[in-house]
Amino acid sequence: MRLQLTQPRVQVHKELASAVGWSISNELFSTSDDHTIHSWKASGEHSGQVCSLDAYSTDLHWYPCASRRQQGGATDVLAVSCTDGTFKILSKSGRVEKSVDAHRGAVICLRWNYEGTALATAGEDGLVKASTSPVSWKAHNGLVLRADWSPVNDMIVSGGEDCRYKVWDSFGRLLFQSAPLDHHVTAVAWCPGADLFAVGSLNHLQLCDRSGWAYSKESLQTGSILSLSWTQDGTQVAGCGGNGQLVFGRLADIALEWGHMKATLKDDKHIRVHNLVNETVDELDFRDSVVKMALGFEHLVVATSTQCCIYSTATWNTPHILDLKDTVSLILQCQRNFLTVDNFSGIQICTYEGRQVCNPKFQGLRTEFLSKQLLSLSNDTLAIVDKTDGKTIRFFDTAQGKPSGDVLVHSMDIAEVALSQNGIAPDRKVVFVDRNRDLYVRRVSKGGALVKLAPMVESAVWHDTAEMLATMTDQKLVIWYYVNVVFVDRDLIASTCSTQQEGEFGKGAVIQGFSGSRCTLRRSDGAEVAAGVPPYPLMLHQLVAQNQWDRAVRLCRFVKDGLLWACLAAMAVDAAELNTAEVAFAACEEVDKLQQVLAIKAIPSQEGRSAELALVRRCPQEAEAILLQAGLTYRAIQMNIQLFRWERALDLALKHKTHVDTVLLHRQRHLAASRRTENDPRFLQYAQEVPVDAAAVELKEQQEVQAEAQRPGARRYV
Amino acid sequence: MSFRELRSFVEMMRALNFPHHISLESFRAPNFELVADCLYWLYQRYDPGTDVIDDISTETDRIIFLQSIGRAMFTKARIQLNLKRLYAANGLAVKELLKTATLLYKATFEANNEEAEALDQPATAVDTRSIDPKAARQLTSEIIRSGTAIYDALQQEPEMRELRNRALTSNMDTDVIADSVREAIVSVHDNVTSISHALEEMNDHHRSLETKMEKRRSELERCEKRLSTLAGVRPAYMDEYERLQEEMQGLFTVYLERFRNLEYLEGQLSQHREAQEERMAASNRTLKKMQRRLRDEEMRILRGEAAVDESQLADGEAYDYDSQGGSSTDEGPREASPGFVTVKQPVSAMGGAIRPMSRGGVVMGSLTGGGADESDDSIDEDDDSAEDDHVSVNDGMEREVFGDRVDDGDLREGMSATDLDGDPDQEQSAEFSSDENDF
Repeated sequence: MRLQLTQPRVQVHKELASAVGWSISNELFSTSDDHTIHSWKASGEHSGQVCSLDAYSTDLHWYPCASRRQQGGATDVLAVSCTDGTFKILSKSGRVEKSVDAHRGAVICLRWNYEGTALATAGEDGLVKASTSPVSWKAHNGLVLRADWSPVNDMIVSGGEDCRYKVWDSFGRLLFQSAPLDHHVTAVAWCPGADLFAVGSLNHLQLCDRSGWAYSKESLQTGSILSLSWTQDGTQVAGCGGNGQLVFGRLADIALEWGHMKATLKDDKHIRVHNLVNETVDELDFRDSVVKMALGFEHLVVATSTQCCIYSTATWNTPHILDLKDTVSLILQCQRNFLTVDNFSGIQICTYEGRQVCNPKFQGLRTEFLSKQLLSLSNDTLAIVDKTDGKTIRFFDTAQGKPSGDVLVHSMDIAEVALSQNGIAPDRKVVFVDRNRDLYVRRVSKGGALVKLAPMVESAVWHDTAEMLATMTDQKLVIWYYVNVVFVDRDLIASTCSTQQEGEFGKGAVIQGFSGSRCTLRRSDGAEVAAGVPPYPLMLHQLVAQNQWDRAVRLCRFVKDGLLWACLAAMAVDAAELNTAEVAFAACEEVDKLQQVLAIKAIPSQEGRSAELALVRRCPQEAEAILLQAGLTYRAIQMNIQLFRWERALDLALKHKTHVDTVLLHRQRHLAASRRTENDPRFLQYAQEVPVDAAAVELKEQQEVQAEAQRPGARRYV
Repeated sequence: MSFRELRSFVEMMRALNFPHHISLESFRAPNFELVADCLYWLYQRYDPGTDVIDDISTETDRIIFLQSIGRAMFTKARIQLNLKRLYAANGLAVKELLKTATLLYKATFEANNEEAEALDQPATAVDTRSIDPKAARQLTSEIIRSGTAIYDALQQEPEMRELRNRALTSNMDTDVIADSVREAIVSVHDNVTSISHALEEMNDHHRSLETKMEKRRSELERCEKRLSTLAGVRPAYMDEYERLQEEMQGLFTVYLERFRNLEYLEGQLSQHREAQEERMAASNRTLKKMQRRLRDEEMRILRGEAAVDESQLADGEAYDYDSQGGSSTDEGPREASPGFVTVKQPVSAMGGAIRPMSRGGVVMGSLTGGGADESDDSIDEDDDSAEDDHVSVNDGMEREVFGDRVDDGDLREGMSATDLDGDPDQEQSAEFSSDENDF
């Protein structure tokens, strides 16, 4: 990625140009020490002088307006700060609507708040005046010349006289610190999407990733760049220099890769697509400038300022075209559909045929705060982090746009959310990383338990076809080969994940993608690194998905890897495939589990086996419910006795008026073994009422076992 | 201290490549070292040759330093510095420093611009190696030509000198000349700038056209590509279309065959109709003939030349009438037979008694061609002629007697002859009625 720079041919400002600002209709206003405000078109052409002021201006800021549709007469204004201690509210035509005496000495800086309800000014007198409470802290070795905060990812970038720029989170923790530049950093500005920011210095403009490393560095003849401003759609940046020159930069050479396809945005209306397999190059031209594009799942989705074009990678000739109402700020794709986010129509889910499916909404949805991290799309579910409190994840059905599953409320702010991509709706899982960088996993469907998977996770990405997860945990790449294991048998979690190449990726590496047997990462210095992942787990997933258990066993025997055996064991238990589970547990030397599987196999009835498997999954309630529904009362009581849930066992026995003596006998034996005496009043009472005869109880138990084996539906496991 | 001035100063010093970074906070507290540093550096930039003592260790040294710089700047650059403010080295000192810095900054800026402009102009070096001999020859001839021109001009010189002297002696307003020359220069300049503008516009236009062409070309390519892909695609109902076409071809051959058969059969039918019509006409003709004959016979009978057998006559007529509707396969014999039967039978029945009656059958005899009758014919030759005479007489008499009626009958005959296609029954009945009337 780089900036395509254009500088106006004529120099309009003869003096130092102090500030620039883009209006919502992509018009640039610049102010200078020659007392004038000029306007410019997005192409860099000078469109004329707007007005001249009676004082030197130091800063200007447009009234924040999220959407072009919300633009009206009252909101189409800008604020200009002056050296005579006033700030002025100007209309678009240059008329001074209001002039407020704010400070003694010059007003140096002013900013609207995000809603446009308040204006903060900073003056030479050292005061910050605002209607809301101000927040500030010291960050640099030297004067901080400029800072910018992004509401999307709550990150702050600052530049100062120590010639460095730094990236902070909203708690003041340093995320990145640049190497010193040649001169003071005089301007910084976040791109509205918050994945890029621009840094200006003397004759120097730099485009940086959100993690701090530079995409491109440009040398200019503008003097110090004193102010930078991005357009609302985040495609263009403008800066003004100390000698009055302006510079316009447009994002170009944005490259997206997916499989064997590579799409590059050559300039604002032109995309080049390379197919690396058959080495063909396709040129796509657009009527309007391209705002966002996304490539994946065999489709290229391009959002221009008025239209959304959906190309299939098979044919580039005839796109499906949707009309857009507002500037798209985000495009997310999954296998069956994709979504676009804009500030007017919110989140829109569309199919690749160009049909709009639904428009999920909830109270307090703020589309301008949504980013890739806070939104996740899968074939049937959409997960959105509710930014009003930052701790809630809401799930929506992508077919109707209605809420589905439980609302997930966490105790901490959520930083990233991701939905698993494969499988069907009941299997859908969500992982999220909270502010403490802990990774949690849950089923989307109702009543799922929340399980903490790992601490210190920097990023987490699902595999695009199998239920595998790649995470950067404590600077190490960890692959979870079978995430469902947390819902099957937590003892196997450690043996189904692998940690790769310690310390190779460095701090702050971000996983970009995980598909096939390759995981791509971007290191904090901007280098893209590909990490190989063994292909066997993927093959195993595919075989299991096709129910080919014997082939899966053969694959594991061929690879001879404990990890693969553990995955297979967990999969087999999940699918109640006991023979495979037996082989797998034997192979990974889990003797206790092997014996448990053998015991389950010996159970004559189907319901008994599924109850035991529920116990393996640590769901005793579910197991008991299965047994009681099937009428296996003795087995239910026996299960509760084995779990030492004496009260529940006694309750069941009393309710069904059977085996009270059995419960009492086992209780007595248990107390005797642990050398204690009975002190529960209920048990004391029933011990007096019901006679306990060990021989009779054992006889009864044998009869029950035989009765179960002779049940009409009973069938031995084969 | 003003924020704006400080910012401008820092910006200018940065642009002038001052070796240290100046912080915006530098002059918040008095900072004489920095002021002296900046001042010395600026002075050195202004006039590198001079030497100023930059010792600022003591108060007097500082004053001497400021005084020497202030004096030098005043004499050389006509800039009056407020030394008190500089000595205070606070925000106000920036104002004084800014004076010098602005001078240098503007000069540098303009110099840079001029340099850039100078770089823009093309180099006009002549490469001696690349002299064209042809051009050189042309130039020599030019020299010769101009030489002769000079010679001619010099010859005219004596006359011209006088005129020139006269012109020179006359009063001339130099200001007017200077103005006109200046105007001319300005107009030429304007001309040049307008031409260069036009050139630039042309270039712009050229570029834009090129980009347009490029775009069009790429569009064409894309369209062609699209066309090729579309050509490769088989239309949706092509299979069905082809199947239906084949089916239709089959149906058409069947149709053709049937049509041919129909045409053939229609032809046959029309042939058949024609034949039938012909036959009908022929039978009509014979009928008429027969009727005439019958009438003749009747006349004869009426005239008393032959005996009448009414029943036979009726029978014969009935038969004749029937035969008309009958099959037409054996026309020849039939045609002959009615006459033969009707006439012959009475002959045979009556035998010799009505021999003269068979005289009318002489014609019949020739039709049958019987040998027996021939002998009769030869025998009766004389009678025949006599009979003929008689008949003619009778005929004439008959005409006389029934003149009107005969005329009428003739007329009817003519009518029926014209109206051959008319109803034969009617015809017949008309004949009969006429016959009856005759009777």
